[in-house]
Amino acid sequence: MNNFLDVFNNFLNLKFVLFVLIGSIAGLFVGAIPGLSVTMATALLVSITYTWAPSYALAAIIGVYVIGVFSGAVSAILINIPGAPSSVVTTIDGYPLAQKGEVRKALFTATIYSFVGSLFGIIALWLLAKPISNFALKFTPMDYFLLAFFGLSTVGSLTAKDFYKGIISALLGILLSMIGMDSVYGIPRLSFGIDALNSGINIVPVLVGLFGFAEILFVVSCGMDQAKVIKADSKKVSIKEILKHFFVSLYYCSIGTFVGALPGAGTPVASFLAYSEAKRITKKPSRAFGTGAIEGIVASEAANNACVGGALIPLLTLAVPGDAVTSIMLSVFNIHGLRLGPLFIKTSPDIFNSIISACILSTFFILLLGFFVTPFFGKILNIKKKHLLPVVTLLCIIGAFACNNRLFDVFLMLLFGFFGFVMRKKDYPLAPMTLGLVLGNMMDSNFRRAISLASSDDNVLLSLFGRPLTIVLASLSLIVIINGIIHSAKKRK
Amino acid sequence: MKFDSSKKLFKTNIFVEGLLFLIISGTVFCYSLYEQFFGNIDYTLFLSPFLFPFLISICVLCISIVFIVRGIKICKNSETAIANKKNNVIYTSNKNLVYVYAVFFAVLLLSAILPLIHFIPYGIILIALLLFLMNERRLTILIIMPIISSFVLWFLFDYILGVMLP
Repeated sequence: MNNFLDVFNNFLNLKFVLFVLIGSIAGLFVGAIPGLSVTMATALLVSITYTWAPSYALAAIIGVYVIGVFSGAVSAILINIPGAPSSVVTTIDGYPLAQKGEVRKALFTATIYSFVGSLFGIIALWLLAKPISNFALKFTPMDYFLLAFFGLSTVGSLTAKDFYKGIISALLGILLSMIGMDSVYGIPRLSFGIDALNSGINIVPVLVGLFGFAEILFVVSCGMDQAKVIKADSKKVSIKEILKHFFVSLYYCSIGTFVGALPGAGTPVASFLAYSEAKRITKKPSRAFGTGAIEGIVASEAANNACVGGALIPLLTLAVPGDAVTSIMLSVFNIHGLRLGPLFIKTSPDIFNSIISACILSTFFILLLGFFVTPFFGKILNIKKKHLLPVVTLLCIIGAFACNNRLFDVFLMLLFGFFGFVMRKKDYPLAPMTLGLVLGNMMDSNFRRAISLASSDDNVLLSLFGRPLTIVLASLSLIVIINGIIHSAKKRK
Repeated sequence: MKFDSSKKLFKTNIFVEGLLFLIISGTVFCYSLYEQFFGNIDYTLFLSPFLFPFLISICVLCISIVFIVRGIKICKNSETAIANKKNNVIYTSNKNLVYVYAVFFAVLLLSAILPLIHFIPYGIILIALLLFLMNERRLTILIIMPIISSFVLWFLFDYILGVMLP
């Protein structure tokens, strides 16, 4: 009950609500405008939230995350270009429905079911976080190492077209994370005598480079064509008619939450799965799927928004992020000296409650912004990329500089921006690298701790892998890797 | 003939990427071993800070070999130019790439002079230059937009958010 009251207590803190609102508005813009991404906005936000109180920093970032996933649907419906990868599936039925003159219906359906999806995911997070944390208390250093290893291998295999490219991206991320002082003995590693590298590679400029500047270069390389925007109609929309899909949407939400909790799969996979389920279980759709079926928008939006809550479960309880945005969020916790993992809810209940409050507030802002702002969003989508990108470039420079007040970080950001651009061009996914960067040190220290503990036992192997949970995690990781190798070999043939 | 095939091999993306990863893994591998055995490390390899980089370098090495073998196979099989054009040759003609390099080097060079000038003039020059590089030729936009955006960003970050600016 106390927990419940603490969460709702944050709603009375006007400053807290304001930070969530600012984040939500920022999320609406970056999510809807193709060329800007939620990951980019989150990375930029990290650098300016240094001086903020942790709860306010997280409030703004969660606002960006929750609304950014939803607002990808706005451009998917209005211009047939998903603003975020999560809304790729929404274009299949959203845009045809808008073309038929039912823009408001498409937008309101996306709004309502994004709200339902987000709320479902957050309730799942709220209910499941504690039991999972309690279970995770039994984890040994080897289990933590294997959990991170499993996360990295799944992200590597799921986010790349080529399994090996995903894995090598993760490995490079781990190598980069090891530059600087070793966390156990304090010995400098891989710094090659460069003083600026002795303190390690600061994650913020790297993230701003990989997701901000690289994105700018990528958009420039793809040309900067503007898409045609469909204007919103003034037809009245029956909310009752939209709400008749509510019960079936809960099924899509559960798919989304489950997929969100898995490392690597993320929002696009969740919406694809839910969409194919919708096609399977809907006997009489309002229109044929692919021509403006409302059921298609319901499935896609409910599932991708439910992913948000799902993705936060392993992040908060096990300190294992599942995608690029949650990896960046992990660095926010690190910057503010907060330690995620099984003890997080016990040691920082106020921050946990703030996260839940920010998530709930953001979901209500989905309704507010979705009903009152998105129908008039056409004009914003008309902003030319050539006018937007120079300002974003300056934002990237501010973001990189702000974390340490060093010019070195600006150059690091530019270097990683170019590196990220080349990686994207060559089909190397960036998410595994980010995850490797964030988890590398944790993997290293747990691995060595596990070996150090096992070395005093008679049977080292039994000591390392003798527990059922360790066997399960090791087997899962092996399955993912072997499956990736076999799948890759079959593809080549 | 032999010269031609090796030239073709070095134009195959996956082969070159494999070589690059081989160099990276080799460097980290040698570095870790050198530091472990000739550096000031008092720990055994199993407890050493260089154990993990050593293991990662072995994994990168394995994948780089996979890439190199793949590159050789592609090169052997790609009799037709189509296979090469698809995704295996590095130097694709892409006029937008010129803009990418221009944007990158413009930002890089301007950042080098950043300590010499204040944030606002830097922002104005950067935005104006990028607008020009992105094919904006209207003088009013080239003048007004950089000035307004730089002042707005300065006001927002420096004045309101208290973020230290360059």
